[in-house]
Amino acid sequence: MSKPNQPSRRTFIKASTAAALAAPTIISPRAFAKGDTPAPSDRINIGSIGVGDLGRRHHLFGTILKNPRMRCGAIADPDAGHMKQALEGQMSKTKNGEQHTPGIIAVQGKEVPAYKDFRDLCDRKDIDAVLIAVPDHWHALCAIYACEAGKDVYCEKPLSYTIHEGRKMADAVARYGTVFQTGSMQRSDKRFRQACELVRSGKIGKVQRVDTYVGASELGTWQDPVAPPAELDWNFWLGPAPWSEYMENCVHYQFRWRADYSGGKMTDWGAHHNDIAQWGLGMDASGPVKVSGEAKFPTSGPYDVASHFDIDYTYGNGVTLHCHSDGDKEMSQKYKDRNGSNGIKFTGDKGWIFVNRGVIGASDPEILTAKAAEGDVKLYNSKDHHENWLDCIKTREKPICDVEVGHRSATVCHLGNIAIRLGRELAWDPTAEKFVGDDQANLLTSRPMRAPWHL
Amino acid sequence: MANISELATKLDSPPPEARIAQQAILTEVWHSGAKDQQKKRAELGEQLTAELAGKHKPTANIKLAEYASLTAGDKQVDSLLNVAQTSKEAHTAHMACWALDRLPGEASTAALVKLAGAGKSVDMCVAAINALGQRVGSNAGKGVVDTLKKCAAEKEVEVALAAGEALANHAEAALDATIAGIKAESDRAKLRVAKARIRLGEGLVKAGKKDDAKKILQAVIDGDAEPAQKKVAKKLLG
Repeated sequence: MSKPNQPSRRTFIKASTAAALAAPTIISPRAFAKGDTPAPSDRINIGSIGVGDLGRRHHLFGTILKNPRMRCGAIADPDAGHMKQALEGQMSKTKNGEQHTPGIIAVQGKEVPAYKDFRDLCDRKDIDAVLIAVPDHWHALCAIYACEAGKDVYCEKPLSYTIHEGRKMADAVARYGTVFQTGSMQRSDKRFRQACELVRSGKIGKVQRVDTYVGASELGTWQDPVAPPAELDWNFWLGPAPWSEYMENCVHYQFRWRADYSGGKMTDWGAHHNDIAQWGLGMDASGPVKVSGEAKFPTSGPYDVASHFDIDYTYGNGVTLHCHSDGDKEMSQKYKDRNGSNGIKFTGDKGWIFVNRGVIGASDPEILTAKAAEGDVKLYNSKDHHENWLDCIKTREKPICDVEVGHRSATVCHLGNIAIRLGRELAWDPTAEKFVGDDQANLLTSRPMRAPWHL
Repeated sequence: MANISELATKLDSPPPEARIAQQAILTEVWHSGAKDQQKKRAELGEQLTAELAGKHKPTANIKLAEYASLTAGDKQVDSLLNVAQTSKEAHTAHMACWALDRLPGEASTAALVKLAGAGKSVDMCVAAINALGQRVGSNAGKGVVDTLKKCAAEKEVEVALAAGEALANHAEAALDATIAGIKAESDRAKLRVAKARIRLGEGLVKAGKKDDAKKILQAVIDGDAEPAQKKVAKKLLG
């Protein structure tokens, strides 16, 4: 792969400053900008770590290559097939047939360096920031390495694979002063912000409970282990996870349903909806103190995360959070009061608010339409999750979903997964980030890593 | 209690049957952690560790080691150490070390010390060293720091670097000489040394030993470390 040696925004600015000191005429790089489009030298040079489905379709094609404030400076993925599609573009099915989405070469006019190992990307001096969209069991290693290389980071949700890894990520961000955005992007959607502002302003009275509906995990069908495809470095893909035979339906998007790599729907969508629950409850720096739950684990099929679950949390102030999957007849009948559509429902002693990606509703429509009163809570206002990150890279302020927020929200999900596995009520100390009086539960807050990987 | 030996045998079967057996064992493992189930947990730990030392396939052993890590106690440490040292199957040996990594207590620390110093492969040494890196403060057993210091002087650079990184978790100023003395030739190796020194300095700052930290962090600033490392060293110096 080619290795272009273009100056990055930082090196350009540094060079410009040096030139300015030496020469009497100063030409701002912005002088080369046209209208609202930043000059090439003002663009943030992004390293795209993980260019599989989400990383390529959503982040690379959908954002980086379309946003004039960014350019893609390099990509990394242990699957060479992913990188080929990122560079050359891909065909995708639409209502009217097939459509070609242009890749990096077509959009930016030339190739960018492509690496199997994310560390090679992070070691590049010309990369300003990285966007991480890799399986969950890789988040901490990639993010911490990037922080240590001086890059700002956007990391997909759920922030971490374990509670311990999330804390280590937060430590690294604090140590290196990284601008870190967690990909729980519902925080940058006005509906969710409005719901949380209304709840925190007391518009539904004293909050009593929150219900989050996150959906069920997939069951899958059996596949015999086979040799991994030539384009995929399977051992690298496994990384810190225990070694495993390769099965096609256990990698890429499907990694979500294998406990060695992820926490299932609980962490996948829980990192969205439980994140909003935390926001609405004002618990971004804390978490629940009790957790218990019930779950069904697949007895057939290749996956081993809970397929269906119903989890109860209690916060220190007595408010309860109930996280539900759906789709299981037996559990739906048992918990009739807990069936609902995908989204979040806040219930107070004077009413309720329900919100999801398409709808915001309330027990009384006036709750939503009434003019804001003096003293009402106004929360961090981000209109676009990526733009907020870019803004913060410039200002060095914290993004709306910084690492601590992401860590605490992911922790809620991990607590739920641990409780339903162990099948007993657990007491959690959100300050010490430890279970109280259950050493086996504490063992599950971390996982050893397969050498040579470690935090 | 389910028949663990029977279920362990089923782990060697093709995927559907093995998967069902996994879930059955896991359910036993998870429920055995309750306060009133500690006797059952100890029995499970013993049975699972014994199965790991048997003749199962690597895929089965990987799972058995994982389950043993949640149930085993000090009594099983020798058996796990033996598997790590003697199993000819690399995944099985490595997962025995992995299980020791997760087990708390001095017995497992002592076993990891043995593996770090005399592991049968670089990977095994590195795995044990990485595990020892997490055993700091009151969790550090006897000989941890001394073993890591010896490993940091190893010719095998991956072993030395892993040891340096593990030592960085111990807030002792004297360890800087060992870490800084690691023969790091490649850019990435030099970066790992610098990062380890940063973490050592940070640990000393947090422990209130600011003067000690200052010397280390200033050395990073004055040396040929990457800008990101110099920047964080300056930040830590305040």
